[in-house]
Amino acid sequence: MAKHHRSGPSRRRFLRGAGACIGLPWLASLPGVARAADGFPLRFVVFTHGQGTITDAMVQPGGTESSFDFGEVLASLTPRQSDIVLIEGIDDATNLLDTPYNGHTRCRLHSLTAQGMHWESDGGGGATPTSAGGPSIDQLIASRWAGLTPYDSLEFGISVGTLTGNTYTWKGVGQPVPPEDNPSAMFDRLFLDLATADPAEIEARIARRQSVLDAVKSQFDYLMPKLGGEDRLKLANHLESIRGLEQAVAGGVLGDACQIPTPNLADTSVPGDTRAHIDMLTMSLACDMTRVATLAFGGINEFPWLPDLDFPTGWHDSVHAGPVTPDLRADLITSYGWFAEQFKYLLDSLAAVPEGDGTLLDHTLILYSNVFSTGASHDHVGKYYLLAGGACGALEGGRYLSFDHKSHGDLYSAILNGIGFNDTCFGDPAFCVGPLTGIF
Amino acid sequence: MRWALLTVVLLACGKADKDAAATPAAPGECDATGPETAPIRKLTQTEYGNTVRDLTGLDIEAESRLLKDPEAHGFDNNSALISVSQLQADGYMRASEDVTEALDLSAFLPCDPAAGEDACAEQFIGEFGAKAFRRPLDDTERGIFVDLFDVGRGLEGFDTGVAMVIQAILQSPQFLYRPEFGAGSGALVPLTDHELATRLSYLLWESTPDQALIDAAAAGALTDPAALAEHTERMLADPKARAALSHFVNQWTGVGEVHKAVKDGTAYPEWDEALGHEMQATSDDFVQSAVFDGEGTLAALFTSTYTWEGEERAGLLTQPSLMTALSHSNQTSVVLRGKFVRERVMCHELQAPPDDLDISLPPLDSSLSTRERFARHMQDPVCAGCHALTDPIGLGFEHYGPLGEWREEESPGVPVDASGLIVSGGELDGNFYGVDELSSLLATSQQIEQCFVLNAFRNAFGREPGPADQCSLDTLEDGFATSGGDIQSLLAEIAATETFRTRPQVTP
Repeated sequence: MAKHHRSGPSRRRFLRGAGACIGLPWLASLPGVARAADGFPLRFVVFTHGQGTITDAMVQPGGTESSFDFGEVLASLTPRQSDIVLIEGIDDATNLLDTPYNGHTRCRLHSLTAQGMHWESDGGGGATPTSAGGPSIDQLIASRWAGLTPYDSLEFGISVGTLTGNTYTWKGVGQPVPPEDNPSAMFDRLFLDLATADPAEIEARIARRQSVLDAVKSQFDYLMPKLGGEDRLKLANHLESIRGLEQAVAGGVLGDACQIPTPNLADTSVPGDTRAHIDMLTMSLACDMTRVATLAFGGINEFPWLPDLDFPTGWHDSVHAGPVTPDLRADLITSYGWFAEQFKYLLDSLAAVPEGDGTLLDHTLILYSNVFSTGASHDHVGKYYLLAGGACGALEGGRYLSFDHKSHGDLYSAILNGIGFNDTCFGDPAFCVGPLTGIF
Repeated sequence: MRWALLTVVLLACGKADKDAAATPAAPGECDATGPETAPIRKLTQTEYGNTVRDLTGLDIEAESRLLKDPEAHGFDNNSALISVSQLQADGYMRASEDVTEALDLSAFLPCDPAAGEDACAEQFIGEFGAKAFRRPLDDTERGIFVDLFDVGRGLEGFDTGVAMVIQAILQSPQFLYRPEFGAGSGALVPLTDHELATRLSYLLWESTPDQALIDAAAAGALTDPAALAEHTERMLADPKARAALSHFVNQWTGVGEVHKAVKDGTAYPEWDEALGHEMQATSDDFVQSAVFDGEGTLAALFTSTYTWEGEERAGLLTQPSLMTALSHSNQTSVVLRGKFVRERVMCHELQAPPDDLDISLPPLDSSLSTRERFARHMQDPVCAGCHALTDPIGLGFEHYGPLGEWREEESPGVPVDASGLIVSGGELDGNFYGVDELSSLLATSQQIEQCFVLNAFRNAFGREPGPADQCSLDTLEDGFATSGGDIQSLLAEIAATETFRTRPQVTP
């Protein structure tokens, strides 16, 4: 890897500085940002995929909060167990609002938003869900940390595609935030500019882009007041994205550990794309390009890189069949376990970035969410969630917490509290009892 | 009439009817009221690519910098889902930089800067700006770009100033969106000539108006229905209309990226991405040829002949791309194929199976036919509620294997039986044998015509029709039927509707 430092233009910001686990003293008063630690900022990452799991293979029976063993699905995470809090007994309860609509769309749109779907009448005389019902947890956090980094959030995708019902991340109703599925394109967006060696050329490019974006903003400002309300709102959201882009153009803070990653972009298999995305996600955090990132998996129905698996008509069909034979159970565990291995690679990558006395992993909170609980029933009741990373000292790992059908909105409000916000509720208030306790 | 047809069916397996939906207009109450809504449109990824190519002459696939657009009802241009994230804004910026990097500026400029830089820049801004915004710039818009040119020239000279202007134009909302204000007063206002030219061009070409259309708009000619019709005819004869029509059909059928289909390498060693691309090209050629070179009717789309691997075959429904997409990796799918006909062709939306149902397929058994393997779908009442609607149609496709290959036997000694049946399909109810008979049935069905019109409406307007659009839909359906299902005429009829030529007054 090429060690990269940006020479010091006036826009340079310093990753480390006086203050809390944040590094930007003048922002230290923002809620949810100021965390006492060694001067590095807190980051939030979501890792999510579909098709549920085999719930009785997540953790070995008989465990206690502090003494437990992962089950076969999570076995590969054992070396990272001390960084992980395993949470069971969560219901994505808001799904009740939209049952029995197709589980894939419904559970995905509910999983990170904790809101009922947004329905619109269609040309056939019925109604169709056209959008999630509110912001996803990552986007809510991104909106509260907006402006701190070049990108308010980054969305990395593996075969997530463009169907509304496949989109995990939402700014709000009618505002999907689709991921970049192509690692090469993501590399160009995030790192190509940094590869320019000549500081003068970097400065010149920044100057050109800022002037161009100023003119673009002026055109928005001129056009928007003439538009009707809904149209104006769409352009206002676009303009907000351009304001974010301006910060990206101005350049991020490059910490000591910030390096241009060298992902293997030639390997375009699913495992290859996943590694490339994780390499870039890690560096986007290390370089403080963003503090909120999502890695989402969609559309996987075959595992050609695991040739021993026998899913005669695809993974989805076998997931539905469930672990009805020992062979099928073993194959399903292997398939779910593959995602756990990718999660471990993410944690290992974060842990490999030194930051102060600790690592990037110590300064990150990672949420592992699955669209379903049990794969075979495609349901949303009794889900497992994983939290990982030190969260700037807020999260103590190596614990196994069992809840009795608590709502995922209350889990998310606990996360918001854990990272310094004061929310009493996330998502649909009808499903909020209060932030879950005992996690942070 | 249309609403009744679409809602009469599928009580057992109908889709969720979440809330009170649109109220159907009573028959005979049709009164051309124009659209209730006309949400702003944004260029799709495809439209952006076509537009940049047409504006600059560059073939650099600048659109590859953009994220794909979200889809609703199969179409990627739905206004309700317009949302530009920071990643997308970043894509627009980089795409605009790709364009200026690839442009030969001296050849692109309409003037020689040596004869006066300021005048040349202003001339360029006026002329290129008007092409990009699809109407003349006003003084404020022009002034913003002139100021930017000055800044850029101050930074690095004339060429940089012009390049920065091009980048800003290509990121401006007047370019990326299609704002419409109409002219005049009243609840419903006619679109301006330039707005109409823009709608027409993106409807027929998925791209920006050409000079002839811009000139007609500038002359105020397009509000004359006869002139609009003339341009429609002219534009339909252009190759750009062929590509746009294929794109529409591909979205309607929902085949997607067939080259990414995963097939069992042992059973189908011939399968690779290249074959998938060849299938897609064959389908595109077929559709374009049926619509533009052949009879041009919806019926022709279902029944025209084409050649695949040396065999003559007929119709959209036998396309290898479609058959491959609607198969599993190692076997056909009677469910997916039947569901496709139900949902996409007949516009009946089905519910997904209950979440806790084991929908894994019965094991492969070379001694049994597909019909026998899936018998439970029809015999078990729990399954039959839905599968009676799909499987008997899908079984009619059994002569087409998982790669769309023609077969007489499913496996040695197991001959194909492609007997099919449509139930709860109104006028379509009854038995058929094989895809050719099914296609003939569909080709003459009024219900299928109506479904096609609904999808054409979605594609044309980037939204779902509402109650106020009922009259326009009825008019389109009547016209489509009268024309014998002529697809080019349908596009022309869409362009002639009140819904297309007017919009509700904008109240900022």
